[in-house]
Amino acid sequence: MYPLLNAVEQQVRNRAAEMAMDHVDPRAAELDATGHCPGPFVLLLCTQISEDVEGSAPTLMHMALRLEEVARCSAAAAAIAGAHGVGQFIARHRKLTDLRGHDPEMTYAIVFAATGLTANTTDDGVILQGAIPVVPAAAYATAFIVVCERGDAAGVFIISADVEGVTVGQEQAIMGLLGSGTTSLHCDGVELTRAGWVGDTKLAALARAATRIAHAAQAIGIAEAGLDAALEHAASKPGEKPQSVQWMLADIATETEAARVSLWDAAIALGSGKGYQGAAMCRLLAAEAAVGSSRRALQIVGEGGMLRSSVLERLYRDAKVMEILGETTEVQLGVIADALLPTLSH
Amino acid sequence: MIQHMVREFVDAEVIPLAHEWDSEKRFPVPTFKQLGELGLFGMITPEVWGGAGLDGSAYCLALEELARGDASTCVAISVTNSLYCAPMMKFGNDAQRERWLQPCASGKWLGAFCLSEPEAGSDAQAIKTRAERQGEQYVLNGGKAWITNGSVCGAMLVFAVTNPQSERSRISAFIVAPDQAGVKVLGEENKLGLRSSPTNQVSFQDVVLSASQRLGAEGEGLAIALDTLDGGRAGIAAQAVGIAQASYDAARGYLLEREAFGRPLAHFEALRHQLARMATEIRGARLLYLRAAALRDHGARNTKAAAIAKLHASEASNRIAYQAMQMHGGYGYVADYPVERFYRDARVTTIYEGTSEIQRLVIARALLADVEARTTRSRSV
Repeated sequence: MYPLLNAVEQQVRNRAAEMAMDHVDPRAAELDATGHCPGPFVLLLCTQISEDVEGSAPTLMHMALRLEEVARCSAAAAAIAGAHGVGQFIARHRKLTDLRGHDPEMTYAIVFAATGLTANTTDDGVILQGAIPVVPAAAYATAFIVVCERGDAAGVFIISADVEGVTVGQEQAIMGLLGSGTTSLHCDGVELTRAGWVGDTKLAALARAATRIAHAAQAIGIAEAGLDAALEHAASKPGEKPQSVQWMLADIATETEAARVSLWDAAIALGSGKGYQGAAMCRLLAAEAAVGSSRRALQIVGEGGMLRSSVLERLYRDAKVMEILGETTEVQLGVIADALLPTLSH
Repeated sequence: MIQHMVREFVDAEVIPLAHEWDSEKRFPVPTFKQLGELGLFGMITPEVWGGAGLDGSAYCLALEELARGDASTCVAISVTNSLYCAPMMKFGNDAQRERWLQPCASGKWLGAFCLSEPEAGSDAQAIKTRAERQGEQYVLNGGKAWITNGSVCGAMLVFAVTNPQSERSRISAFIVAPDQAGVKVLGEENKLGLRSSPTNQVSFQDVVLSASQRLGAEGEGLAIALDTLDGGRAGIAAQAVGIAQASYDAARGYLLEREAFGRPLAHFEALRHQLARMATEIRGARLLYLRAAALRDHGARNTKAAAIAKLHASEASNRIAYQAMQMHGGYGYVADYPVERFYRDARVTTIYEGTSEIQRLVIARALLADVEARTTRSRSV
């Protein structure tokens, strides 16, 4: 209830910050410039996000703390780590030993089928059919957690990226999160085996919420990076800072902090089966905090921030993607409203 | 616990009467007698000094509940707890606590906090009220403005200049009883909101104060004032959230009952989304004040966290009250519906106990001071 970190969480956060500074920050610009993440770096990100905490699997809260620090250096890297982290969190709900569950080289991406992809029961079992245009980290995934909310066999499935009928598209030239391996995914008559079934629609709802948590953490990292850059710039100027600058700094910090406490609250609540509405709320606040932070930070830095070589230029592009990618802000508002008011019949 | 107790009390004893108190500008003495008996004057004062010994988080949750029912009632309680009892406990000696804290914390009377003057609000350093030392006594002259509980308090904490030459230790804090010779509590201000909470000007003419009426060391006044305001800010944020919650509850109820174009307002996407945003902001603001309060409870500095909570909650409260009135249309603009009062009551939350402008300066100052302590993030490009 009281949004303070305990000692273990504090430690997780500090370690993640160090790791991000040592390993993610030096590669952030290259990731953005080339639009590609080298294999060993993908593995490093995936290993770090799912590293045990005091001998146990990391909680959603631990994941959120780690993702924020990664995103503070590179939002694209955080998108890869987040997809894997949520994928593994969901996969853990069933001991997936029979499907390379303990393969240390396995990297997950998470796919929300929505209307593009359906799971239907046929004589041959469950068949996955359709295409999803935008799947973060798909280019690097060796396995997909497919969340089907429609079709008569709705549920959560796991499929290997090399299974027959699965085609991963070309990396999309999107405005931000370059290097995150965001591509389309096509499933042409993919047969789902019993072993590929992870859970029912309840787990699908958890996967949705956990993804919102991951996206929120990622967006807050972007917002914090904006504050980092703006503060660094302001502090480098001698003397009293203009009030216009002080105002913007205060507004960035305030919006970011509101999003962060909402994230922590939802991440902890979700760990005990609550917080579904809170997950949508924090994703909404975090995405808007990222956009507000990058906009103001760029304004504070001025012309230097407009250069392609400036981190602010990248943050500005990455931030906007967070209001849209996967689920728009309007989707979050709709989800929250459905929890507060009688659901509209469509 | 306390949150549920206050919620029940507010639903039964405050909400049904709040409109009447507001329209008649009536301070509800019998209700405050009950609130005092329930222990709400000394919520964060230790039990040994007559209080309830709650932590700051529980206290703020209770304030939110009070404000949900009536922001005027809430402010009288908040000032008494945060701005009177808290500094009395923190900076007073045992004799002062016995004389000036115990009766207030145990519910006998309310407290007041006298810092602002007609020509010194945000710029607290610029106050002119003078306490001149004469041997073992001080003589107080000057005047204070916008004093919550001025006409209904049992004692007031007054800040006055003791050393005009000094910059850092110019001001000292004093405990003054309103019935002392030379103290005059002037007529009530006619305000936009919080209309059942009395706000007064107070004048001091040759008021003789004993040295035992000085709180803390001579010259420590500004530090006491600023520390006290740090403690109070989470409470004002909680109050703002309470008003926002009341506005939200009213708006949600109205969306469900009112029909337009052949269907309930709750079926229109734009209004649903607005309501969702209101709920999202309320949750964020509530967590921010809980964080600020929890940090202080753990003995950590919470200046920045409290300023963030106060800034965010008070601005959000105004947006939410505005939206709630907008959703009510013409009905929201007339006093038959409570959103009209919420809209007026929300307004002051961005002004008192530090304006939004001052919060932003406090936050920016803290951020820039921390900048060296942050992980250096110089990038290769």
